[in-house]
Amino acid sequence: MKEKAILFGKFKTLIGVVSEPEPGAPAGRAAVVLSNAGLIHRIGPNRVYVKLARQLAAQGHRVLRFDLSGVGDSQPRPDHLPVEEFTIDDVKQAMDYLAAAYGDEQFLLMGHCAGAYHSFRTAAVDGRVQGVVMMNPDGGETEWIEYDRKRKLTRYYSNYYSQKSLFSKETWQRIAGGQISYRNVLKNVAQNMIWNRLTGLFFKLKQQIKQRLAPPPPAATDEKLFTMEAILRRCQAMDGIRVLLIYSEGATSLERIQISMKSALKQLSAAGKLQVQVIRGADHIFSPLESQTDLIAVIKNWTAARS
Amino acid sequence: MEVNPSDRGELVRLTPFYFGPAEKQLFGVYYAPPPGQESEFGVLLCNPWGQEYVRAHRAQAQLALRLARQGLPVLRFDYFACGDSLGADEEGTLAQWQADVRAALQELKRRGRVEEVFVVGLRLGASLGTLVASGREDVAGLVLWEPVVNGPAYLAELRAWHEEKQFYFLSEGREEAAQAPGLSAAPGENVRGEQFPTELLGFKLHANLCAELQTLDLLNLKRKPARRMLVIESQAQPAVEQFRQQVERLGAQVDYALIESFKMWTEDPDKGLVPQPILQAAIHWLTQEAG
Repeated sequence: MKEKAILFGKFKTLIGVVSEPEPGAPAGRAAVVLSNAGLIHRIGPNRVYVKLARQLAAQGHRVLRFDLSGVGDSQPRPDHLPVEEFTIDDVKQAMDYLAAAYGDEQFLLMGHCAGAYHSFRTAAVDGRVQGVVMMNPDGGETEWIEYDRKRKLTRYYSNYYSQKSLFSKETWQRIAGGQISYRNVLKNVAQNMIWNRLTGLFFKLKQQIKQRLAPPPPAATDEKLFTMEAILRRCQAMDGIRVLLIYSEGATSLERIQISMKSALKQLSAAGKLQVQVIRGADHIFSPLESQTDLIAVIKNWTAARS
Repeated sequence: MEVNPSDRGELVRLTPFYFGPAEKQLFGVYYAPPPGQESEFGVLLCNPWGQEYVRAHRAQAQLALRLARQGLPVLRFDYFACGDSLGADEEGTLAQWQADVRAALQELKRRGRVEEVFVVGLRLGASLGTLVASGREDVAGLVLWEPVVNGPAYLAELRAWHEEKQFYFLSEGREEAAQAPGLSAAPGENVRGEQFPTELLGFKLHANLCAELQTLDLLNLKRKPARRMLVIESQAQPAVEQFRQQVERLGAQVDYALIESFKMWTEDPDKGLVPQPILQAAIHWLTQEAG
């Protein structure tokens, strides 16, 4: 594995690492650019970008993982562009660097969470991009964020009681010693498990009805791409870009677009423009090692099919 | 890259690079102080491990930049099999990481043209820095930020965090998911037949590393790690107090700072939290010591 640390960009403020294609790997594969997952530096959540970059390099891709301005080791830009503009410009500069240094002409952009949005928004304005891999692009209105919070709490307490508390010697000792707060247990079961589950079901039903009564607007070319709904509408209007959309099992952001963009998802998948994959047993940042392996395998299969 | 952080024209140059043997290349970022202001001491930053490393990165980077502004040449680097350095998770060991700290010390001395270096370590990085510094003449001083004194206690702490975190995403009522390999810190055995989790918070915990951590105990130190030391804690730990007494018995002069703060190495990285009072205390101590 050969990797090179680079300082690049028009202000020489961007720091990244290039993973060179392995000797003997197929030539002519598109170069890959990985954008930060939120404020996590360029190694990605749980170092998964490093693992991904090295495995894609073994497949013949040149991969650049880098820090956007003001994130990780890259310093803020001196031109004070707004974040929605400089993130696109930074990713374009990453492609410019690879084009100038290695002659790369075609690119795949990849990113987790906020990095997924940066990647797609750049692809929408730069014709060099062939495909985008979006890993757990979260976001949404306040009510969906609240729904997500409740889902996590329900899951936490279900797992806590079913897998730890009931089988813990300490719990039974506390019960025997009269040290258990039954009020807290009742609150957790009644509110965080049962009530949250019921309100969650009601919320989803309400969203489905709302969707039927007010179907999504048609694609608009000047629409800001800050939501997955807008991105999927843009996908419908664009040709030439393929999208791999990856969600962790139980991601409420996937539930959301399955309601709000049901027909678009079907249409895009049927047209071969979009592939949606769910990684089982994963949290938002792919903590379990097995989920990291699955995530990388899904991406490698997708890139291989496009080479 | 040149960073002009203030209107006083203090230019800090950042250089990312790889160093070390070809098969074990380490990633580093060198912070060159503003020209003409270079101190005769360098500062080496030693990272925590695993999830703590990911979450502490922003604070470590800011600390490096601020120290360089004060004229101190600084090197931040990733241990082998960590961060951007070569190597897979299962290749990292405490023995290798101590060798990496030694290699980084040499690299900093070469790049910064300094003879002596201060080592600043956070969590496990503090332990590695202490072990390496012990018996060396070129480590002028140590800043130990929440040092890991006892390996088994550290493992227990990480394991509790790992198990707690899992409850948020284990599939509800899906037995097969709960039993999936690697998902639930499935116990394995190390070389001594002891139980250990195979992964912790997104990172592989392999048998060799686990065995090394289980024997890590800074109270066994036989030689003082440095003449001058600063220990920083946000919550007083008895083990750290014992360690402080131990190194004082060995002849080190130890300053201690208890600074109330959040533990940013456990916080969501998207909050972007940096404990400025702690950085300020470390910078103040280092600049005083570097004269």
